Amino acid sequence: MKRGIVVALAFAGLATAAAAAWSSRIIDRPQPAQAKPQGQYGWSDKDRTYLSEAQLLQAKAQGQLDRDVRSILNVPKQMKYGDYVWNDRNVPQGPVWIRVDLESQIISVFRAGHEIGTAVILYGATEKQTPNGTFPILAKIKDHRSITYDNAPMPYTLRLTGDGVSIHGSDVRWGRATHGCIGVPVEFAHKLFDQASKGDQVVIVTEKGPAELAS
Amino acid sequence: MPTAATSSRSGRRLNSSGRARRAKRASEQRRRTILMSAAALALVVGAPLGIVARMGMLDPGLPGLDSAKSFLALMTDRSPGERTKAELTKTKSKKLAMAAPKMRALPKVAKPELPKEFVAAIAPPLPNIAEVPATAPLTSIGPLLITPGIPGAGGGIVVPPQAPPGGGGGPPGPPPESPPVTPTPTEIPPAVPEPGTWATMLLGFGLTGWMMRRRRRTLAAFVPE
Repeated sequence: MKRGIVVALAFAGLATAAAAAWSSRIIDRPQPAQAKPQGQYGWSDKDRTYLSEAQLLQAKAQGQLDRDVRSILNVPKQMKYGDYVWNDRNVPQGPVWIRVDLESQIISVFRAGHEIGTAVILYGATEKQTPNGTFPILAKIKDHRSITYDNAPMPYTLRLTGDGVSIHGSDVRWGRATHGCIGVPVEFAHKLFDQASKGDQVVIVTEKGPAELAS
Repeated sequence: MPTAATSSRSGRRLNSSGRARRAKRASEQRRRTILMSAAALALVVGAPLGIVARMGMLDPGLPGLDSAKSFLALMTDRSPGERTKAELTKTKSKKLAMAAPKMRALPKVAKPELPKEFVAAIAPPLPNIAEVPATAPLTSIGPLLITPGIPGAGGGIVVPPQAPPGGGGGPPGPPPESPPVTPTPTEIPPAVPEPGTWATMLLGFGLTGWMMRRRRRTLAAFVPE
C-alpha cells in the first residue's frame, strides 16, 4: 500500500516535471505554423484558428479577403475600444500585410499568412471618410506631429496616402472618430511599427462588397 | 405475536453477533479502502492532468466550434460592432498620454513674488567682469546661474549667463531645472508565475513532504520507546 503511494507520487512528480519541462520549452514543441494540415476542415489550437480552404474561398467571395490567410488569432471575447491582441509566437518571418475593416472596426496584421495582431480601430468620421482600397506604406515616422491638425502627436505613423491618411497611435475610445486616419492603440501601434516596413500593403475593406474593394 | 418474532430475531442476532460484527467490520474496511484508493488515484492522476490541461497540451486535433465559422463571422465576433456615434471629435488632442514625456510631478513651491521696484533697489549692480575680486562671495549674485566648475578653480571669472541687460536685476528667476530624466522602459515580470514555475514548486513541495515522511519513519525506527 505504502509502496503504491510512493510509486504514485513518483509518477505524479515525473508527470509534473515533464509538464514543467514542456512549458519551459526544454522539450521541442511541434511548430503549429508548420504542422498545419492543409485540409478541408479548419481547426484551432490554443492561440489560433486555422482556416480551411472552404472558409478562405467564402471569405474571398464575400470580398473580405483578397489574399490567402492561413490562420487568425483566437480572440476569446468581443474586444472593447482600446483593446488589442498580439501574438506572433511560432509564426515564421514573411511578408506582412495589414487588413483594416472599417465596418467592424477591426485591424488585423498578417505575417506569412498568419495573423499576429488585431485591435479595435478608430476611423474617419462621415465628414472626413477613410478611403478604401489597397495602399502600400509610403513612409514610417516614429514621432510624428500633425502639420494639418494643430501639431497633434501621432506616434508610430505609417503613412498610406499622399494627402496624409495614415495608421497611427491614438486614444481609442467609444464615440471617437478621426480626420480620415486609422487610429490604433498606442502600444499596438508600436508593435505594428516594428513589424511593418515601407511598401507593405494595407487593405482597407468596408462591408459594402467586392466592387468597393476593387476600387 | 409480533413481540415474539422480534425477540426471536434479536436472539438470533445476539447469538451470531460476533461473526456478523466481524464480517460487517471487514466489509466496511474494504469499502473504505476502495474509496480511499479511488480518491488517491483520482488525485494522483487528476493533478498532473489538470496541470497539463491548464498548459494547453491536451489540445484535441479536432475542429473546434470556431473552425466551422466563416471568416466574416469570426471577425464579427471580436469586433465591438459597427460605429454608432460618429462624431468628429478631436482625438488628436495634446494630452495624448503616450506622447507626453513622463516625469514625476514635483511639489509646487509658491513663493510670493517681490515687487519689481524693491528687487531693483536691493539687487547689487551687475559687476564688471574684469573687476570681480577672486574672493567675491559667489552667492551674492543670488538666484542667477553660476557657471559650474569655476569656484573650484580658485577665483577668476564669474559669468552670470542670465544677467538681465543693464544691471536691473529683475525678479528672481525660477531655480535651474534639471534635465528631464527619460524613464528607461523596464521589463515588468508577470505577476502570476508561469505554469512551469508552478509545476516545479509543486514538485518541490511533494519532494519535501516525501523526505520528511521518510525521515520521520526512520527516526521512529531508531528511537527506542
